[in-house]
Amino acid sequence: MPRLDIVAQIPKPKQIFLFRSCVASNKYPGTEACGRETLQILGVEPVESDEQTCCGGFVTFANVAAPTASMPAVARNLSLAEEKGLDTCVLCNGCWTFLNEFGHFMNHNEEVKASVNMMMNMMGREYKGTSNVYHIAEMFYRLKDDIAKNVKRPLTGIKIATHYGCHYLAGGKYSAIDDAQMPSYLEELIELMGGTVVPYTANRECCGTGFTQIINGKDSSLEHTQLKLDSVKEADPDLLVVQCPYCHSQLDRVQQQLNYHNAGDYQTPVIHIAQLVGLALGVAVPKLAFAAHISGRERLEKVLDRVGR
Amino acid sequence: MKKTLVIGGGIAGITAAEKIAQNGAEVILIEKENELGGNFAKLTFTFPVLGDAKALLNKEIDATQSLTGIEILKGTTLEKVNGSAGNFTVELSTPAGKRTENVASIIAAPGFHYMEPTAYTEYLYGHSSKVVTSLEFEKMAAEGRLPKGKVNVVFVHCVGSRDKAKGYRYCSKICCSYSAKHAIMMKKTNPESKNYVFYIDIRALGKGYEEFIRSAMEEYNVRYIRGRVAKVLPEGEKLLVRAEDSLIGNPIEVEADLVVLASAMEPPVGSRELAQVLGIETDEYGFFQEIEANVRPCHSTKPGVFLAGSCTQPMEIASAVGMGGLAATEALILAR
Amino acid sequence: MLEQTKDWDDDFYEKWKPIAMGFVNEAQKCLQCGKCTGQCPAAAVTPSYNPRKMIRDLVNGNIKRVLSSVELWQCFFCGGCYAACPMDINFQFFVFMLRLAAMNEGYGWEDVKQLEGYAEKDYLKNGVTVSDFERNPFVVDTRGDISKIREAAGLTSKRQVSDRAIAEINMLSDLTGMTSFMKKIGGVELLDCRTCTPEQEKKCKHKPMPSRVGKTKTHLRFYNYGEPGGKKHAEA
Repeated sequence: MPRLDIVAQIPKPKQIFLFRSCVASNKYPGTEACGRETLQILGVEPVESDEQTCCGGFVTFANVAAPTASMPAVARNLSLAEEKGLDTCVLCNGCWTFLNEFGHFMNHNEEVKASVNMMMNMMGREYKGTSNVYHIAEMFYRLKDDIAKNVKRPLTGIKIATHYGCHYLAGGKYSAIDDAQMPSYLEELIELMGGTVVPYTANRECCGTGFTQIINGKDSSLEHTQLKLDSVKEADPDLLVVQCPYCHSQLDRVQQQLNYHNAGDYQTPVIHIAQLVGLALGVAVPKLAFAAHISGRERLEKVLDRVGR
Repeated sequence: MKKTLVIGGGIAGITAAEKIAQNGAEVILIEKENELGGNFAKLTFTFPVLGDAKALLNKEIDATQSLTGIEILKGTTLEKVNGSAGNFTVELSTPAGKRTENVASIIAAPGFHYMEPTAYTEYLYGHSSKVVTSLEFEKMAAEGRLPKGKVNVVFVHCVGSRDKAKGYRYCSKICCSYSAKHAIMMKKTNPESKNYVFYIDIRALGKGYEEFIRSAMEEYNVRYIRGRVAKVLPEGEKLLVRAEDSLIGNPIEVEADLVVLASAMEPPVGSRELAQVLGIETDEYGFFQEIEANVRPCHSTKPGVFLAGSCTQPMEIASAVGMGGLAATEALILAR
Repeated sequence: MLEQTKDWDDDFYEKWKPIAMGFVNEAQKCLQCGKCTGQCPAAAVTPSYNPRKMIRDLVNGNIKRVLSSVELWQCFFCGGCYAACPMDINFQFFVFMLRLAAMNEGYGWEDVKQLEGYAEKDYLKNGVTVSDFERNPFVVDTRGDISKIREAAGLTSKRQVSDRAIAEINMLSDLTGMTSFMKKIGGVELLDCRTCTPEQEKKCKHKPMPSRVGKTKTHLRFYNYGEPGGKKHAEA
């Protein structure tokens, strides 16, 4: 059950700082485009900035930098939203957990914040800690009434499975809008848009990316993803919805790799929640950018045919 | 001789009232429910000897009810307390209306509550009808609804206890033993069943307890696996229980037809409010605080108010009976 | 193999705590219940990986085994252990801290070296860590040119990050020692002005910074780094 007390604290702003994600921009641009479009339809104007860089999470957790080194990078990105007096809306679980955790840490350690601000001041910026970071899925859940009002392509008869992603739920043990062990807000959103939720056993399992394991521990990463995909395949949904571009890339691309290695036949299209909401809200087909998807392309086209282009 | 007030008609309260009456003093026993027996009345068997719980309890209740000098008020709660040790004025709310009594001392024995593990969604509690608490298991056993045929039953220890994040930090003390009892009951009722118990540490703190738990392993073939269950997944009609076998150091998965959660004993509902009415202190969890844990276990922080049973800490039946007797002795001193 | 408790290092945990900047917490509260391992995706596919055992070694001080272990580099960083933990131990940050410590001892370089390119060639060069470059030719065959798809979606053909932004993150990388860390792939140390040695102080003066911002005084310095790198690595 979603924690409604936390949801109630999310404001419905006129504008929000849309924090773009590396993977979404460079691998699945539909997520970025739909994030922008859907927020606009829902009455929140997304504000973007080319000053925004990667959140720095990958570099930090790959141990290429100490947390001390990534703290100012987080502060710098958040200060961009602060300058505009806006809250931040992220598309990626990694950005969410990284900006939130490190932002929280700086806000509660004056000394660290001061050290960070020395560096910020050198480049004419300041980190105050006033911008709240929200995941776009959280915003969708907050704006669910507006979504219900604006559905242009009802997802009637489309079977949809969900995957939440560890870095939102586990990292947000106490701060996520839902129970880390038994989330249900994506299901609620899907039903709201007319879709049918398909449960499967490995729903709460990790996608298998393993952060850096997909690069330097590929065997265990693929093995775990296959466990997950087997369970998905058993339930046979039309779409698998994720809320993290990194999970998206793993679940989408590994299917092709497994098929190539004759490890099975996996053809489940994976899409981001922003794309799903975009689909329902009638965002133009090229902006959904399904062309960038690797697995289950035919089924994806069929879904488009069924809901209308 | 002055009267004594006993709050709670569970085994501790019954024992205290019985002992006071047997010693020739007058006692009022109040119970908020409409039946005596408390949590004991919800059990089918006792441990470490599988005794018939209903028969044992009824014998005690009958003995108590037959004594002169005991007034039993069911459906009654305590509203107000004034005065001090030796001379309390208590206001009771009975089904027949308000009533004021003068008593020399008060014995508080409101018992405990089995925690409702709603926070444990990782165990699918509240999401699957195949995940039940131990209390529900007792009810299933009493009504003959235990699963039949070739089934796997998993018992999960420490649900709500030894858990800072979702429950209480303390050890609930009796779950190890009652889970063994449940596993044995299961095996006896359905010899085809396979039973698994997931534990962290086995705490068998009583006479015959260790032997009892060993008998579950040795005679009833209950598989004891050391590791706290991590999650329960739905798999078709069945459940998958994931945990680590921490003695081997390997993750393990058990297919289950029924998962029984040994939920912790927690302070009785409204214990803090009752403590406020009585003017006594509670500990961080809401259990009643004794003034000294070792030699004054039944003295509350207020003179003349005595404690008995599991309102002070998780406790098995034998200790609750012992404490009821001790509280009765203390009350008799003031009643004289 | 017989273990000698005299080899255990009691101070390790305390010593490395500041490196993770307070993100590590209360490992000593571990109950050894195994709930973490039971749900762990890495443990499910890697026979010897076991977070419970790693915490046990850390608390006991038997960190030699942890630091030299291959398992340390097999964590998925999913945080499921933290979500499951009844004592709220955030184990993924311990892994993080232990990896830095292991690097200081000369372990794990091969792993981090594979990843360093993402920082150097992508993050610091383009401002984004995951670039549009595809290592897998099948992906390009299936999908075609990503910049075309971006354009069709109404986006710029390439994700734009301003020159100023890239200059700024490079500056931060220099200031925080990330650049030098990457260059030497050296060990990291968080220094405290109150316990600074004259030698470190000398280094510090190369990059003078105020010790006061507004009303808050600070003694933390982000850009101080210790001896470059693991001993073994230095020898090699």
